[in-house]
Amino acid sequence: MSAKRDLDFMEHADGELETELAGDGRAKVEAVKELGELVRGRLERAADDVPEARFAAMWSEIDKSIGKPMVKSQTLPVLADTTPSATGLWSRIGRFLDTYRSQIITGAISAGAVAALALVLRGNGDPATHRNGSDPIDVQRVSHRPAEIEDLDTPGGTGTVFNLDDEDGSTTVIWVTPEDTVEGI
Amino acid sequence: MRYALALAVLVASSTVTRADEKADCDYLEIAASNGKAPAMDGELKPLDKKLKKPPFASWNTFHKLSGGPVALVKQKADALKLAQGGASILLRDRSEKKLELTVSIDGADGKRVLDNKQSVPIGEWSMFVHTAKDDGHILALTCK
Repeated sequence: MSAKRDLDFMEHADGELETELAGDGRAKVEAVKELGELVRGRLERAADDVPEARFAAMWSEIDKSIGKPMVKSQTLPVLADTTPSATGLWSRIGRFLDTYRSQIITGAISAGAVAALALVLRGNGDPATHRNGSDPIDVQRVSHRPAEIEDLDTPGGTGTVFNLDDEDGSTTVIWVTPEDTVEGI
Repeated sequence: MRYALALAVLVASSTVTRADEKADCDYLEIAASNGKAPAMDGELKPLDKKLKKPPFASWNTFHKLSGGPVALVKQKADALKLAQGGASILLRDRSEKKLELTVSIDGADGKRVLDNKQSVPIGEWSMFVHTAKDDGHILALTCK
């Protein structure tokens, strides 16, 4: 009896039965309608919650199927053999560039800025800082200035410091004469 | 994009650090003496003019004993392979124009001849001379 009544209430709720119901019956029909709304809303939310990644994977599969060479056609054998693969490659590259355009541009600008910074910090490319071929002692100078002697200790001898200036630069000479030498330089 | 930026910064910083942390030097070890006829090894040509000036002009024969490049790393003493005695060079610090070096030289008898700290302009020669009897021992050094 109760099962039959419930079926009636469901038909009422679906609009398939249009008989008069008592107050208790109307309340049950309203409850069934409300329950139906809740279930519908839950299912819609579940559909919305399908991960974006899954959609992306689906689109990726679709793209792959588009990019694949077409099935050879008996009516157009030449086109089927040559054109589709090339088109697929370029279209994939194009899609990749379209997708990551902002990242590529940002990366290129960043790399350029950092490279410029490195060049500035490294100096002005003065030839004096470049090694010249295989000759180990052919060195160019930055400036012609003598060395600054900060400390000199010559145990058992006498140290003399002087500079030799010529067109090649300024050479600092530290000359140590033993103590037992009667005549120095 | 973040990874690309981080990589670029890393490359740039490592380049700058490398330039600040090392120096490329060349050295010549020379024996100076007086012979019957003046003689100078061809490999000493970079020092030719200097060796013909006083007080070097008191000798007339100059032979290269050893030499070559040496790569210095900051705060790491490097020993030079000399034919007579020994020497070590320490790169204490460097800037765009100068190198701060500590040079120590031992004589052929193993005794310390000199300890020197100097700030030398990049590319200029420094010469360390010690005499024994009438002959001279010269260590010439240039760095960049």
